[in-house]
Amino acid sequence: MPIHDVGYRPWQGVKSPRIHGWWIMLLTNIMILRRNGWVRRAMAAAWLPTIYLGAGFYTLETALHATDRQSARTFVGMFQAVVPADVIQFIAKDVLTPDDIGHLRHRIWGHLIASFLSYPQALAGMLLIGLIAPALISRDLRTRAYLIYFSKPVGVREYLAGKYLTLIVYVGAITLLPALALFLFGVGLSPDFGVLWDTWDLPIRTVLASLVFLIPTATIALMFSSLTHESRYAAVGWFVFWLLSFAAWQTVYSARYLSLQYEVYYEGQLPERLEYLLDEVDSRRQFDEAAQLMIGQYIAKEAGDSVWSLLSMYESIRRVQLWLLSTGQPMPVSHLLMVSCVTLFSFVVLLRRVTAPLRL
Amino acid sequence: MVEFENVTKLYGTVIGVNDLSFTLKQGAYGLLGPNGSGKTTLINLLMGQLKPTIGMVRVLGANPWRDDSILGRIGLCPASELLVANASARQWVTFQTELHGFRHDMAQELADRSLEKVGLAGAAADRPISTYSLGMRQRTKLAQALAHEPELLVLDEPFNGLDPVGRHEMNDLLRAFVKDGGILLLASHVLHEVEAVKPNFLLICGGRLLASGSPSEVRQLLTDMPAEVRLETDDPQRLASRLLEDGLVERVKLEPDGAMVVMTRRAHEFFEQLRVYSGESLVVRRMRGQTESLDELFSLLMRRHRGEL
Amino acid sequence: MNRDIRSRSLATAILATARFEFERSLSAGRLSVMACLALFPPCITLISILGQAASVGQFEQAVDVFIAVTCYIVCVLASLIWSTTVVTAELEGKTWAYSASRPGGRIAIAIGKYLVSCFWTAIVTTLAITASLMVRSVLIGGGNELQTWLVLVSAGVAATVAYGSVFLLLGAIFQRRAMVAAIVYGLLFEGIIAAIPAVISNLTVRYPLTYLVFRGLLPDNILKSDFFTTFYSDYGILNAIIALAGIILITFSVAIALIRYREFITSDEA
Repeated sequence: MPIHDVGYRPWQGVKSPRIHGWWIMLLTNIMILRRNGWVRRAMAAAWLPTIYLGAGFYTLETALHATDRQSARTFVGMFQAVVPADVIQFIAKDVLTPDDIGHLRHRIWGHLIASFLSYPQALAGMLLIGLIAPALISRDLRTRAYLIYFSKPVGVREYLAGKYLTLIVYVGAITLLPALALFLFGVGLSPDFGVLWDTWDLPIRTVLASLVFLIPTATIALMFSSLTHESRYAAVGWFVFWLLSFAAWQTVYSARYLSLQYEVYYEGQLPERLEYLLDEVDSRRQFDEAAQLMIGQYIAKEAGDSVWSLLSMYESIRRVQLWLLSTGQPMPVSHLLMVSCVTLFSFVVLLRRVTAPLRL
Repeated sequence: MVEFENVTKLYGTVIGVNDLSFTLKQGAYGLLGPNGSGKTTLINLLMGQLKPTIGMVRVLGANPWRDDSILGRIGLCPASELLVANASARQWVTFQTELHGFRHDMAQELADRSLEKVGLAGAAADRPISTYSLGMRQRTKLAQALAHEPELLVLDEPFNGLDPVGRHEMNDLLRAFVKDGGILLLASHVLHEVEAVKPNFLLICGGRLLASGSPSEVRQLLTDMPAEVRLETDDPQRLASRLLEDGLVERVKLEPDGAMVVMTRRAHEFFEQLRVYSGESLVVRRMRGQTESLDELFSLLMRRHRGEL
Repeated sequence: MNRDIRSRSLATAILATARFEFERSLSAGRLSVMACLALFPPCITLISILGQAASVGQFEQAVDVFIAVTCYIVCVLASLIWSTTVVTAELEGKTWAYSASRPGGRIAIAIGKYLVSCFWTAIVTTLAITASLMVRSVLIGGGNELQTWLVLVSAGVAATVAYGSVFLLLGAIFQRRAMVAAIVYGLLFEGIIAAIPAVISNLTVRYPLTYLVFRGLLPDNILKSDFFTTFYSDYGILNAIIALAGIILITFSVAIALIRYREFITSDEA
C-alpha cells in the first residue's frame, strides 16, 4: 500500500516576483487604514480648503480680465493675502496685454498652489500622518511582526517601500491630488485652452513641490515610529518636533518683525526704492492700502530673511515649495540642504532601526 | 457567590455574551471555551468593567458595576501580557496592593508574601519586569491577584508560559485556595490545563453557556454526544444491517469507496459490539471516529444548540 | 478588614499611584524630554535677542511676551504629553485591567497620574521661565524680573492645572488617537477660537490666562489701548479667574466621571 505524502507541500504555481512584496504591504496597510473611521473623516475634511482656493482661482481669473483697477481690486478682495503684493499692483492697472496676463496668471496660479500646499494641506497632512504613521513600524516592533515579515521573501527594501508608499498614497491624496484638481479647476474656468500654454509646467512643479513635502515628512514620521514600541510616543515625538521647531522660528521671526517695524514706522528707515511708500503711509493723507501691504511684505521678507529660519523644518519645506512653484525666485540653497540633511539623517536612523533585528 | 441572571452584553451589534444564567458557590470552576467565545467578556462583566446590556450580575452580594468596593474581595489575573516599564515585580505588586487601600508597609509585606507564594521571591523580584521571561511575568500577575487575600479569584489563561513544574505548583496553590473556602474561576481554552484543579465546568461558545457540570458529567457528555464513525470493512452491507438490527446506530451512509459512515448515540455499546462482530468474521479494517477533544465537544454542543442534532 | 481599609482607601490609592508614577517617571528618557522642553524657551530667548534685525528700545517688553509665549507652548506640550496619555497609556500598556479591578482603582489611577503629570509640567514650566528670564536679564537687563517671574510662574501653574484637566478629558473621550485629538483641540480652540474677541473664547484656557498675564506684565498705557480693550472690553481679573476655575472644575469632573463609568475595551476578545 503506497504511503501518500499529505504533509507540507510547497506551492507549485507561479509566484509573483519578490519586488511585489511592497505592493502587498501597501495594499494591506491601505485596507487596514480604510476601515479606520477617523482616517476617512480626516481625509474628507482635508479636501475642504480646495473649495476656498477653487473660488480664489475663479475670482483672480476674473480680476485679470477686469477693465479697470477698482473692479479688479474688488475681485481680488479676500484673496489678496495669497497673491504677491507686486502682482496686485499690476492686476488690471491698465489694460494688460495677453503676454502680461499670461505671465501674471502663471505667478498667481503658482502662488495659489504653493499657499494651498504650504498652509491648509501641510497642516492636514501633518495631522493625517500623526494619525497613521506612529503605529506603522512601532506596532510591528511591539508585536514582533517584523520577524514574520522578514521570514518571508520580503527584504528591508520591500518592507520600507510598503510603509513609505502607504503614507505617500494617503497624504498624497490630500495634498497632490487636490492641488492638481485645483489646477484643472483653473483651466476649466479660463476663457480658452490657451491658458495651458502659459501654465503647462505647473502640474510638474506641483508634483515636485508635493514630493518635497511627502518624502521628508514620511521619512521623519517613520523614523519616530521605528524608535519606539509604543505608538503614542511616536505620535508625541512627531507633533513635538514640528510644533517646537515651528514655534522656535516663529518667535525669532516675530522678534525680527517687531524690531523692523519699529525701525520703519518710528525711525523711518526704508530702502531708497521704497521710501515713497513711507510718505504715503506715514502722512496718512493719501493712505494707500496697497502701499501699506507692500511695506508689510517688505518687513516680512526682511524679517524672514534670516539663517534662523532653518530652525523650522516646516519653514524650510515651505520655502522650497514656494521656489518650485514660482518663476524667477532664487533657489533657497540652505533650506534645500536642510530638508535634504534632515531627511537623510532620518532615513539612516530608520534604516538602522528596521535592520537592527537582522544584525543580531 | 456569583450570580448571572439572563445576562446579555452587546458591543453595538456584536454579541459578547448571550443570555447567560448561572450561579457559582464556593469551589473551583473552569470556564472553558474556544478563542473569541466570550470568556473575557464574562470576566469583565463579573469584575464590573462592563455593564450588562440586559440582565443582572451580582458578585459577593453586590452589583460590581455600581459598587466597585466589592473588587477589594476579588483577585483578577487578566490574560493580557504584562508590560510595565521601569518597575520591578516587588514595586508593582506592592503598588497594586496599595490600590486596595493598604498602607505602604503593609502592602509591601503582603506583596512579598504573595511573590514568595508564586515562587518569585529574592533578587528576581527586584529586577525590572521588562527583563522577565513569560513564566515570570505570569507569576507576577498571579502574585498581584493573590496579594490582598481575595475571596474570589478570577484567572484568565493563567497557565500561559508556565513550565510543567510551574503548572504543578500553580495547581497546588489553587487547590489550597479552594480548600480554604475561596471561589475560583479559571478561564481557559485547554481542557487538561483546567482539569488538574478538579473544577466544575462552564462550557461557553459563541457567547452562550452551552453546558455546565462536574468533570464526570462533562466526560459523560462527551460519551453521550452523537458520534460519527467511519468504518472500513470487507462487507459493509452486512455490517450495516447488523448495526441497524441491534439498534446501535441511527444513520448509516455507504461511501463510494466502500467505506461506511455511521452515527451513534451509544458510543460505548457500539464499540463493544464491534468486538463481538469480529468473532463473526465481520472484520473492521480501519475505523476513524471523533476524538474527545474540547473543540469537537464545542462543535457538537453548538450543533445541538442550533437544533442540528 | 476591608471595611476598615475602605474608609481611606481612595486617598491611599491616589497617593500610592502618585508615588509609583513619580518613581517610574525618574527615567533617563523622561528626564531628557523634560530637559529639552525646559531648555527650549531660554534658547529661543537667546536666539530672539541675538537674531533681531535691529537694536530697538521697545524690544524689552517684546522679549517678556516672547518668554511668556514660548513658556506657554512648553507648558501646553508637557501637559499634552503627560496628561493626554493618563488613560491611553494604561490601555496601550495593558495595565488598565489590573488597576481598574481595584476598588476605586480607575479614579485613583486617573487622579494619581494627573497629579504627577501636573507636578512635572509645573516643574518644567517654572524652570523654563526662570532660565529664560535669566537669559533676558543678562543680555538686556532692566525690567522688574521678580514681578515678571511671579506673574509667569503663577500663570504657568494655572495653565498646568487647566490644560492637564482638558487633556485628561480628551484622553478619556478618545480611547485611541487621543494625541491627535488633543493637537486638533489645541490648534482649533486654543489657537483660533481663543483669538476671537467673543463669548466663545471664554470656553478656552488661553483667553482668561492671557488676560491675567497681560494685566500682570503690561503697563497701563497698553492696557488702556484700543487694541487691548477691543479684545477684552470690560473683562476683569475676577472674570478670568472664574472662567479658569470653571474650566478646570468642569473638565476634571467630567473626565473623572467618564473614566469611572466608561466601558474601556482592553481586549480584542468579545
